[in-house]
Amino acid sequence: MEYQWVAYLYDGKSAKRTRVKVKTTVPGYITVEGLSSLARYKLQDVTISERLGAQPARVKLPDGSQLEIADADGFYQSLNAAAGKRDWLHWVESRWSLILMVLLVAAAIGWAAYAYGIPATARFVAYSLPRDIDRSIGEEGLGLLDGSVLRSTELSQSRQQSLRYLFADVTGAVGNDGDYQLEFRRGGTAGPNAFALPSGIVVLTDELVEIAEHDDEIAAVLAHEVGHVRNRHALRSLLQNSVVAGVIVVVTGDASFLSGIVAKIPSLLVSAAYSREFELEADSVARDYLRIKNIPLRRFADIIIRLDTASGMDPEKTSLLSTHPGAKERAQYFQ
Amino acid sequence: MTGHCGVCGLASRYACPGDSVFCAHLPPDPGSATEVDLNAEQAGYATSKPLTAQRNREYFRFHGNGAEYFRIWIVNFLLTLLTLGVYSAWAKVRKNRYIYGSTELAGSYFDYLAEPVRILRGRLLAIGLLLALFVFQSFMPLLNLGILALLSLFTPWLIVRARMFNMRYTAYRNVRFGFKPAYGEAYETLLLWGLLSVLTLGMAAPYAHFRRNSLLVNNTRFGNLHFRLAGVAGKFYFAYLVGFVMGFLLLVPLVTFVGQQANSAATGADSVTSVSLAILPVFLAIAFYFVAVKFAAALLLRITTNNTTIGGEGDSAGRHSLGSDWSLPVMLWIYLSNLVVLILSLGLLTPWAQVRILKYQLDHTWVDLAADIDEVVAVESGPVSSVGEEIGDLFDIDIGL
Repeated sequence: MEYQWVAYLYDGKSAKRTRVKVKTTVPGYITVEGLSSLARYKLQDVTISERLGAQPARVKLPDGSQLEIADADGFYQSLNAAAGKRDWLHWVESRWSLILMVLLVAAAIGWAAYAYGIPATARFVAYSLPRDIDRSIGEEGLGLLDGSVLRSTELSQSRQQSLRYLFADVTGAVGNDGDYQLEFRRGGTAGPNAFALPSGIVVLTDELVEIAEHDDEIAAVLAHEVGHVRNRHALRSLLQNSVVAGVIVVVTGDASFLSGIVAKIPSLLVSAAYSREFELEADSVARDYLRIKNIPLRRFADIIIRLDTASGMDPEKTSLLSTHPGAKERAQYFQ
Repeated sequence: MTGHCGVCGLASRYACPGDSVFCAHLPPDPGSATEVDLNAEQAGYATSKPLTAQRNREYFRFHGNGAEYFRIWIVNFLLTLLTLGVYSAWAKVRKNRYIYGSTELAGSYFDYLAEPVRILRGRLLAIGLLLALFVFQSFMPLLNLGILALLSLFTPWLIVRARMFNMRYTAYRNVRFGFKPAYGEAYETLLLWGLLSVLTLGMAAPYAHFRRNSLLVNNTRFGNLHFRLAGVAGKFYFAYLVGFVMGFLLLVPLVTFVGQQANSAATGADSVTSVSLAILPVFLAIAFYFVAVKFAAALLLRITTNNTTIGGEGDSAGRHSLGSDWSLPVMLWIYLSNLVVLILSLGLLTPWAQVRILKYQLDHTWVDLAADIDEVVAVESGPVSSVGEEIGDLFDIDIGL
């Protein structure tokens, strides 16, 4: 074991440096020997930098000056041997076997958080918040859509009335307390579509009504949308995506090079994956409705495959970026 | 730099003067420390030699290595996960200490001195703000514009604060760097010139960029030495042109490729492959865009470095100057190959990629010392809150040069 090292002493008043000898021969003390000086400091009076890789050791002395010891390994070893300590972080960081374990544990935690932790937390938080929150999300949503994509409906009054009865039947069967409201619009570029706003408004496009071959199909789609509202998917996805964005910022805040795309790709993939989970959850509400009403399950399968085909998508495939699972995959739960 | 000791022959990071008193590898000498007389002049002690002769060129050296930094990085990552992000402040300090402490100039190493708790505080505030923004964005999309306007009003302040924080906690030879809180200049440079570069459809953008770099360089000091960037706005125009042409050249083959892909997808190729092939070009396009931007940024950094001087106010003889000679084709190769490695390793080799860039750039950067660096006098300044830096980090405001 060595007890003395060559070091540079910086006085903290100028950039001047002095070559000195640092000794740890006397336990509990550090001795600094210069050209014409000798000083001894108690270890508890100085601040020694944490050991980090092969970095020089730095010792801040009480008078503001600083020692820089480039051959740091022996210096730290002698100090730790004297104090009977171990630098835990450095100990882990210098062993590849432990690093491999760190890697595996990090991957396992990351996966568990993504698959269970974040969704469960979001569900818990969403259900502990008052329903008014849902209403305020996207309060302006329909107004925005009306101003851009959607046009007024061309359905006859009597058709609208019969669909409203159908909707009341659906909300009566699978809706919970909240107020639900059905709105008709011509979809325009949105095409045959139905969507739910968190406030309980379900929008049905004329094109979807036209493409449906049976009212039970429309009812199943409405039940799916009610499922989104009932399970508070808007709020939950908002929470989940915020957490994912936060995690990615914190983790890659580290990587300056390309942090831009490296950060955006995973968040895109993860939020799409969460969205597919929500679709399946809403599908199960549609399934409940069909079972309660003794309607053949294939009604829902029929219309979603027709919708996918109509919008030019391949019902067979689910891509990593899709917000909805492929229609074939969803339909298999409705056989 | 590793040299060899003239007495014992062992490797030593400091060039050993061959004088036994200063050899790091002497056998232990337990008794002597207590017996040395404070006032005795001892033979053999070398006096501290002035570091510089006239016009002495000192290269920066980066001693970090990818494997070592990877191990620190991955432990940082795990602890950050386990503590739900709280550790990230400590992780940042550890990471910066590694990078600064691996950077050597004339036998002394740089140091990063920020306290983790201070960073944590700034980070919590920034995340709170970010969450509030995210929620606002989702609840009231119409308010977005207002928030963006408010944010851009804050940006100059943020950039100044971030720079102050970073400089205040960077030290070399126990002397800290500093940044003057030049808010007025920051608002003029960043808001006025930013706006003008939009109004002129980008014609003024390189000049605005030059003004921004001047702001950052000219208000920086090391101890009592002030940094100065010479007027080189013309070269900034050149760098922008290069970046523009490069982005264009990279995009042409890509667009052709995407076009072909779209055709084959339309004719109904195998669905699984067509899906993955459809996503790939999108990623590649983003990636190439970033490479072009990074390349232009590297060129700008070189221009800025090569025109920066330190100290010597009113006395050009006492002026130190920075310089660099890294080659742009090599930088381009490093960026492109790093990109491939990062994608293939799912980001795991980020530390290796970072070290690679730093090593190449720093090993090709130098300072020409005109006077004795020992004469630099430390200037005291109080602690600086890290709020600005953290918010800047999170909103992806580029605070580098």
